[in-house]
Formats: sequence, structure tokens, C-alpha cells
Amino acid sequence: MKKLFLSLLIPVLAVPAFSENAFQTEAMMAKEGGDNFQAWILAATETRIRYKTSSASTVFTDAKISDFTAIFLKEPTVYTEAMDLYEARKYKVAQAKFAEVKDYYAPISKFKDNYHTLSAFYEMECMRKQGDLEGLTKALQGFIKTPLSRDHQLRQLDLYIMWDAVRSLSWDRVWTIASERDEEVLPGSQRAQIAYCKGLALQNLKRSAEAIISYNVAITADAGGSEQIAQDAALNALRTYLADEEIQTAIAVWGTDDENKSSGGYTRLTEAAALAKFYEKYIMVDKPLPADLKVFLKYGV
Amino acid sequence: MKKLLLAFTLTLTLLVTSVPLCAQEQDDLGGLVNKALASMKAGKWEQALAFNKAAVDRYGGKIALQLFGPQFGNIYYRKGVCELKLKKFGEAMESFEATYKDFPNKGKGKAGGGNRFEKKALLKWGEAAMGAEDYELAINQWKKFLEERDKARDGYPRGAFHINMAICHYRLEKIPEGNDHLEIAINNKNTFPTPNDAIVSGFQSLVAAAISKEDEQVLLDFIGKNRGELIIPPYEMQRFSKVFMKLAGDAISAEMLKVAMNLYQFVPPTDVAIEDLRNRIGAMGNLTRVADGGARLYKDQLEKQLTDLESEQRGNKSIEMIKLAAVAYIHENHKNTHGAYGAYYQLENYYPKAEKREDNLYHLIRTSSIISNVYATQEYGERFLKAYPDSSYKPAVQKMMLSSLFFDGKYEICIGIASDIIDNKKAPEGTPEHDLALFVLGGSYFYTGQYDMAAPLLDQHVEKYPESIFIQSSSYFQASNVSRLQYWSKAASLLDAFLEKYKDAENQSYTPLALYDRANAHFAEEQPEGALKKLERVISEFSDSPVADQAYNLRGNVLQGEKELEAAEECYLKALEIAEIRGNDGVAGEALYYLVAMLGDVAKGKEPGPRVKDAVPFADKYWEEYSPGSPYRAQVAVAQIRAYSEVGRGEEALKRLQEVISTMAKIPGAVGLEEAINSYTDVYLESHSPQELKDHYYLFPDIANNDKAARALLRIAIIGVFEDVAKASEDDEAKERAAKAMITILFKNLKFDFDLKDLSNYILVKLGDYLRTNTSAPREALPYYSEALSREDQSYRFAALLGRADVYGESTQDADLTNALEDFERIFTDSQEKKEREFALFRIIEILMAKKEYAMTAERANEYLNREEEAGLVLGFSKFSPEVGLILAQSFEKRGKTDDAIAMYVKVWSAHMGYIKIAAPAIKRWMELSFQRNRKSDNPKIVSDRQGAYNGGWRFLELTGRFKDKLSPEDRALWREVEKLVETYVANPNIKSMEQLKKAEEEAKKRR
Repeated sequence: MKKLFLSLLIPVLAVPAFSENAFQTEAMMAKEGGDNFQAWILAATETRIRYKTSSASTVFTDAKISDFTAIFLKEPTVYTEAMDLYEARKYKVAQAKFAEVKDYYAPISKFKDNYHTLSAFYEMECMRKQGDLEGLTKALQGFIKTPLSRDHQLRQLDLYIMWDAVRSLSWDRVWTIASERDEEVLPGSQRAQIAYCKGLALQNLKRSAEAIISYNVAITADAGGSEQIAQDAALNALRTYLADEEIQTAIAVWGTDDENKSSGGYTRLTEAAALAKFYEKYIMVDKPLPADLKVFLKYGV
Repeated sequence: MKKLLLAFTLTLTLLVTSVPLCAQEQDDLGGLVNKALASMKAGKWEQALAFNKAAVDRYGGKIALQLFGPQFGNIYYRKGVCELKLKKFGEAMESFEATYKDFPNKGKGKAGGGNRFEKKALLKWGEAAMGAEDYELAINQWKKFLEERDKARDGYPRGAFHINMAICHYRLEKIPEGNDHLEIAINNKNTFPTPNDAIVSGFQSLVAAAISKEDEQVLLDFIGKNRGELIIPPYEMQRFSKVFMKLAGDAISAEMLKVAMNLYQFVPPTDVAIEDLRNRIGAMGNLTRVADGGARLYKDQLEKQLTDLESEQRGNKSIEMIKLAAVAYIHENHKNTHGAYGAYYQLENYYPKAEKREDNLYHLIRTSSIISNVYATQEYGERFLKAYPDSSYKPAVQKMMLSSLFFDGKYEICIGIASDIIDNKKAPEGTPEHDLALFVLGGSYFYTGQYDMAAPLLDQHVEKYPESIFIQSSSYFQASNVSRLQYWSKAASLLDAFLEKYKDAENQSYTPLALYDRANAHFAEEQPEGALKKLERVISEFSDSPVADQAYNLRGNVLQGEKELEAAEECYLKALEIAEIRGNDGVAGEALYYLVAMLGDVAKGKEPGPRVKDAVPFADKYWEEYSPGSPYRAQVAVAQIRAYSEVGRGEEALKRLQEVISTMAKIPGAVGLEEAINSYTDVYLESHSPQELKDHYYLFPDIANNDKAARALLRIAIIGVFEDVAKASEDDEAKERAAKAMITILFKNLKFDFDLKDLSNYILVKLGDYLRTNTSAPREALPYYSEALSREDQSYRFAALLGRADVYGESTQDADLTNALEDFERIFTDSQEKKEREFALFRIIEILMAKKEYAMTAERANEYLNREEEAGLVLGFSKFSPEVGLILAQSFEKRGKTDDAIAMYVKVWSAHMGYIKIAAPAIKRWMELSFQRNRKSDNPKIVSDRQGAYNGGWRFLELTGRFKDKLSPEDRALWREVEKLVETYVANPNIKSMEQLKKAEEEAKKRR
């Protein structure tokens, strides 16, 4: 088999298979009839694979992927470490780690759900979570999504289009893209993104009441798990409240004879106060309540 | 020696586990050991335990060490392992204890390996103690194990060891020590390794311990520090989802809400977990198991988990549903209602299959109502009622839908919903739903100015639901609504009742409004003192009420009516000040109008006063700041004319008025347009002829052909001018005839050129009046009056009522007369115009007479004529006194009260002798009745009835005869009837003629 296909494989699997830094990644492979074995993959295309059966071996085999009933890529420790950093919300360090993994796993970048593509995906996620929308847009241009198989990851790539519209402050476009997803059932983290971006659009389109609702959907969609989104959504909602003239009037007459507890401004002021307190207690991660929004803390009932 | 041999043999047997067994060996120790080992390898723990137990029972005990050496401890150890597997923790602890204590590796016994599990038994002893929940013992044994173990021989799974250590410490609520071990396991998870699921198990114990100890911070700190490692891939994490959900629920119960939020964040979305499982299963292909890092993946288990998860996702209790409901609770618990709404919104829109959808949807409606998202309340309310028509929440939902819309001012939508409920009997009477719908419907009509529609509903609500939670509101609406309909007397009594009933109520928000309305009613009924008292209360007790500025304006009106102009001006200025602070542009504009109107007022034909010019700055301020959208544009434009003229800005004022007329002409139903046109007319006529005015008005600038109301008003203005011309031309018959002809033509054109719907109330009434009073078919006027009366616009209401009643009152049909009486009574009771009220009462008296209700006629006639306060209210009416007196006399006569009739007739003809139309019939009937009564008199100073009748008639003829030629034919005919009767009576031989009487008197004088 090796001799038969070697000439075909060389151009596409042209990797330094036996150099000091030669790439290899552990896998479990199986063929029809239960011939299971441990392997180290050296390179792969969409249809072919080069592997060896001992990590120290210099002998490899080239084969058609379709000859195997299973090629299970084991999760590399370095990728696990990167994911741990990502889940620990250390996005900057995680991004750098994913970049390393991405580079190292480039030889199998066309293999289904390979760790190059997954790392590139999470590298972009790190950019999004840090608010680096310029970097995200740039990274997305070079990203090849074909190896991804999980729907929520593919959908996330679509959502990057929405984030690009946020980057370019195209609020009508953001609203349109976000609204198109209104009917879909999505994972909480993606619902949070959509609601947040929609909130931004509505806020900028001066539809304050709707913006506050949208921001609150963002805050609650995944129980605040998307902590940056929840944080920014809450702060933006508070800013929207602050810009409300009736709330300003309610603040001006608070505790005076002119205070009107049945006015819309009074009601919304107490809501803003509740959100500000909720923010400090449950939502805040790394952005303390700014001084101008701290004013709300005085008006709770 | 024999013992030694046996021991050696046993050692060999124990160590060489793969020795083939034969049937005979099953009863000896070696056979039992071999069978036990084989069963253990096969995972047959009960069987293995039986073999190990048989070996111990037969060969164990204190003698075993002597017989077989420390190697026998291995059998105890294996027995313990089997017991541990079978969760027989007590027995297992005894077995491991025996292994450790009874078979120490000492002396020669160590030969051949001795008790290989001597120290490891401590490890297992600890595990068994953990299983038996003796955590102290477990920890102690593990510590001892670490101290005593042979580092080369006694290896152990370090990850699991530290996890167990952590768990036991947590169970003993020694959280810091537990955390140390858990962190060791986590930090070395790749080297020990520590399986992810073991980490999660340890973390669960930490959560349980922290919740039990109510130590939220320790948990938050741990999560903050180790979050990255604690969150494992979704396919693995989903196995723990339910446990985390339960722990989060426990945390909520313990009010550790931040912990709860964090725990919910650990739970992966179901669809993401499903995708991850599918991905792993797909990658495994035909592999049944794969070791991936610390994880062991078993394909059959993953497939089972996938099936379960997919089923859960399709079901009605998915994790997302529970999570969102909990998040909603947390947010609402912290008064962030928008947050709760956001969560319920997602539950309804993305998880409508939720077991608790009915609750979720209800809470969505409830929270939408709180945040005043009325469209959501409406949309989801309708959805709820459709999905759960028999729900126990139904009344509450209906209530929220309506009350939310109502209190948010969405009255048109309220009318749609509440009408449907009331008209289609969707809520039985007497239920809270009917109570609410009735209140909302009445209140919505009230707030939208549809007072006629509101009245019966509010009456019904107040009557049917005196205990309603809305009764205070509906009572106020009812009273205020009546005042808007200008039924002043009824409004006054309702408002007084309201103010009395709720004088001590906790909610005083309606009190200033009711006081203001009551003041308005006093003002309308010309009771300035009452009005001022009520307004004083509004101003002093409710200075922050929304009507405080309006109260000042009304006080200004009252004081202005009392000619206290300075005080009135102060009030208007105060109203302006408050309104400007509050941003009430409407009230500010109104105050400015009053100032302009009062200061700029110049009586017709008189010179302007010294303060006329003072109106100019107020007028300028009005146009600069408050004119856009103001309903007073026309009035200010009219009121400012003289003031502007005084400062040389007359042209500007006229142009402004023209602009206002043109602008208002484009607004259907614009109030004040007719006044503007009338004022413009007056000013225009100062320098133009009526004919020029007519030409000017037919081509009025910037009024399009389809601005019909304005064009009609201009025509009416022309008619008014020609009416004045006709009046002023009484001495010039030709001129008068020409003017009247013009009026007739203009009215005819008006009638045919315009549809009723296009005409304002003012024009309708004008046209109606023309048809009623100037044509032979007064009933033709009825459609015009009825059209005006059918509108929400209350202007010219009484004029229309008066016109209609007058037409009906001329009828001979009883039904028409009843209608007329109803209209006239309304006018008499509620009109602010004395003239209208007087005419109404007069016509009531006439109609009652026509209906032959003589007693009632007399009662109302006396009411009209009363001049003495002791006898009742003095109305001060006099215009129709002759007619009313005549009718009163006739009513006496009809009831057979001849003496009263005679007395009344004489009062009438003697007081109004020159008013032939009344005096002639009165004296004629007086003469007849006196003649018929025929009371004799023996007293020469008192004449008899018949002589008196003649005498009175003769005197009447003498006093009025000198201008009989100037009487109208009708009056002359009446006069002639009296003359004829006098002639008839004098022909009677018992009656002395006036000549005879004079002659007799002269003779008597001579005799004296």
C-alpha cells in the first residue's frame, strides 16, 4: 500500500517526517474486522493519511482514509492546556497557546475536526471575547471551515459576520442579522451574543426600551456564562437608563415633594438601581461600575 | 519441618496464580486461592468472595500466620477487595485490618514476597472506611499509608487518591484541607493522571460542603482559581449536568445565588453536548473503547448517553428550561424585572414544550406588564388565553392585559378588548373579569373624550361593583365624566359625594382632580365662592398635583369674572410659572392666552384701556414658545388684535389671524376657527364693505376647495354680516330686502353645497336655527342639530339641544313633546348661558301646558316667576314673565281654580297692558271668568264681578286704543275681541256703561 501511493502522497503530505521537530499526533485507528491499533499520524489530507505505529519509529505508512473504520485523534495535552486557559477566561494566554497548537497541527489541517482547525477556531473565539473585532475579521478571512463538523461551531462562524457589522458600526445591518436569528433555538452563549449585538443596534438606533430588553436577554441567556457579554450588556443597559430623560427627572425629584412613584421615570429608575446592584453582585468580572453609573446604587427600594 | 514444607508449598501456590486447577484441589487452600483469583479476574465478585472467605474460614485465624506466614495476609486483602467491590464496607474494613495487623512482614515470613499488601491494605482500608462513611478513619488510614508505604512497591492512583482525600475532608466540612487535595489532583491532572470525572466528583463534594456550611465565598474563590480545569468537554460534562442542576437548586435554597449562577454556567447546553457526543462516537468508528488522556471512552456508553440526551432534548424538562426558569427567579428576586422577562421570553419562544409552559407564559405576561411592555402583554396574553382557556391564571392574565394597557394609556386597544368582553358576554357579570373589563372600558372612553359612551359604563361599574378595587377610580371617572358632559348639577353632587367618601382614603391622587372638576362645576353654575374654595384647596393642599397649574388658570378665570383683574393676572402668571417648570406647554399656552385676552380686551365701541399694550409681550411669548400644536392659536390671534394695533402692529395681527384661519382650515374639527373668522370679519369690515368681504371670503387666501369646514364658516360669517346689514336697514326697505334676499341665497347655497359631516357644530347650529326660525318647515332643522349632538365635540351642545327641543316642542305629538321636555330640562339644568336656561324653562312650561299637565305647569311657572327667596330659588328670569303669567292663569282655570285664575289674569294684563299679544287674551279671559262668576257686591266701593269685567275691559280699550292702528294684524284682532266683549257686556241691562257710571259719579259729587 505504501509503495503504491507514495508518489501520490508526497506532494500533499510533504512534511519533515523524521526531522527533530517532526510533527506527529497520537491516534487510535481501526479497520473493518476489528484490527485496532495505536498510531501516530504524521500528515493528512481530506482523503489520505500518513501514519506510523510507534512514536519512535521511522517507518510510516500512507493510506486512504476510507480504508479505516476509525481514526480517533487523541486530544493533545497542549490543546487541553489551551482549552483550560480558555475556560479559565485567560483569553490572551489561551489565544497564544491556541496559535501554537494551530501552527504545530498544520500538517493535519484538512482532517475532520483536527486540532489545527479547532485551535484556529478557538483563537478567533479568544479574539471575540477580548473585543478584538479587527483581529477577528482578519483571522476569519483565512479560516477554512470545511473540517469543522459541530453545528454550533459552524454557526459561530456565521455570527462572526454579525460581529463584523458591529465592528463597522453598521447598526441597521447588525439589527437585521440578529433579528434573522430570533426564531432559532440556539445554545445560550450564542443567544447571548445575538441579543447583545441586537441590543447595541437598538441602542444606537435610539430604540431604548427594546435595547434594554435585548440586553437583558443577553444577560440571562446562559446564566451569565458569557461573562464579557453579560458585563457589557448590563453596563450598556444602565447607560441606556441613564440617558432616559424621565429617569433624570425622577433622580432630580427623588425624595422631594415632587417625587411621583407612579411615574414611568420612577419605575425605571428603581429598575436601573436593581440592575446596578445585580451587576455588582453577580455580573461584574473585571469592569467595576463606572462613577456615572454608580449613581443608580442610591435609588433602590 | 512439616510445617515449613506446607508453608513453602502454600507460598508457591499463592504466588503462582496461573497454576492449572484440578477437581481435587477445590477443597485445599491452593485450589480456593486459584479459584478466587480467577473469579476476580472475571469480575465475578460474589464468587471470588466466596472462595476467599472459604480460604479464610478454613485456614485463617491466629494460626494462619504461624502456619503460612505473612503471605496469608494476601488472601485477606483479596477478600477485602471483593467486599469493597460489593460495597460490604464493614467486612472489607475488617479484612484490610487483618491484612495490615495480623500478617506483618517480619522475619522469615518475608521470604517469597510475604504479605505484599500489608501497607496497601491501609489504602484500601481507608477506601472501605470512606464507603462506610467513616471519613476520619479513612483519612487516618491514608495518611498512615503514605507514611509507611514502600515507595517502590506500593504504587497508587494518585489522582483518585487525592480526590478521595478531598471528598472525605469535605464530608467532615474541613473545606480548606479538602481544597488542598482537590487542587493537587487538578494541578497534576495530566501527570497523575486525574480523570476529569474524578475532578468533577471532588468538586461536587466541595459544592455540597460549602452549601451545607453556608460558605459561599470559599466556593467562589475555588471556582475563580480552578475554573479552567473544572470545565471539561461537553460530552463528559453532560453526565454531571443533573447533579450540577440539583446543586444549583440547593444553592438557591441556601440563598447562595452567585454560586447557583456559577453552577448553571458549568452545565453545557444540551445541543452542544449532543454535538460533542455525536462527534466522539463518529470518530470512534468501530472502536468500542478509547483511552484519551485521563478519559476512558466506551462507545456503548456514549451512545446510550446520546440517546438519553436526545430524548431529554425532545422532552419537556430539558436542562435549558430548568436553568432559564431559575435565572428568571434570581433576577426577579433581585428586582431586575427586565432580566426575569428576558429569561421568560426565551422560555416561551425557544422552549414552548416545557412542562411548566403555562407557568412560564403566565410569568412572561406578568413581567411584561411590570416593565410596561404592553405589546408583549397583549401578544402573549392572547397566546395564553388561546392555549390555556381553562387555566386558573386566566383571570389574572386578562386582568394584566387590560390593566397593563389601560394604565399605560393604550386606551384604543383597551376599548377593543374590553368591548369584546362586555358586548359578547365573555365574562359573567359579578366576576372580577367583568368588573375589570367594565372599568377599563368606561375609563378608556373617558380618557379618549368619548364621554357619552363612558357615562353608562361608569354608572354601571359604580353601581354593580361598590367593593371593586377600582371603585375609587371609577367613582372619580364617573363624576368627572358627567362634568365633561356639562351636566353641572349632577356632576356637582357626584363630585361632592366622591370628595366626602374618599376624604380620608390612603390614595388621595384623585382628590385634587375632583376638587378641580368641582371648582369648574361651581364656575359653570356661577358660584364663584364655591369655585374659589375648591381651588384654594387644590393649591394649598395639593400643590404638587398635576392640576395645580390648571387650578391657577381657573382661579384666574373666576376672579376675572368677579372683575378682580389684578388678582386674576397674578393667578395666570403663577399658572404660567408652574407650567413652564413642569414643561406643561398646553397649560402655559392657555395661561398666556388668558393674559392676552384679559389685558387686550377692549369693549366694542370703547377706547382701549391703559394696559392693552401689556398684552403684547405675552402674545409674542405665546407665538415664540407655545404656539406649535396649541389649541389656543385662534383665540390668541383674535385676542391680540387690539393690543397689536395699539403698538402699530395691526397689519401683523391681521396677517397672523389670516394665517391661523388658513392653517386651522386644514385641521378637521379645529376649535376656535369660527371665532377667528368672526374677529377677522370685524376687523376687515372696518375698512371694507360687506360686498367686498363676500368677494374676499369666497377667494380667501390659502384655503382650498376641499377645506369645506373653513369655507362654510366663511359663508356663515358673510351671512352674519348681511344679517347685521338687514337689521341696520330697517328704515331702508329696499336695502333690508336686498340683505335678506342675500341671506336666503347664502343659506340655500350652504345647505346644498355642504354635506352635514363637513360642517362644524357651529355651522350646523347656525343652519339649523335658520331653518327652524326662518322657514315653514322647522323640522328640516332636526338633522343639523342631531348631527351636532351626535359628536364627541361638545361645542354648541346646548344651542343644538335648544334648537332641537324647540322644534319638538312645536309638535302636537306626545312623543315629540316628551323629547322636547327632556332636552329643555337638560339645558335648564346644565347650560352656563342664563338666556338659554330661561328660554328652556319657559318652553318647559309651555309644553307642560300643551301636555295638559296643569299642576306641573303651575309649579314650573311659579319657579320661573318667583321673586322671593323664602319661596325658593330666585332665578331672576323676566323675559317671558307675561307669557308665563298667562299660562299660569290658564293652568288655574283648567284645574277649576277660578278665583286664582281671575287673580292671575288680572296680574298679567295689568302688568303688561301694552303687550297686546298677552294682555288682550288675559283680559278677555279675565272678563269672561268674572262675568261667569257673577259675584254681587252690596258695598258701593266694590264693584260686582260683571260690572268689574266691563269696567276693566273698557279701561284696557281706552289705554291701548290710541295705538291700535299700529298693532300687527294679529294683535289688532285680539284687541278687537276684547272690544267686542266690552260691547256685549255693556248691552246687558244690569251693567252700567262707562258713560252711565261717569254720569252717576258726577251726580254723586254734586250731592256731596
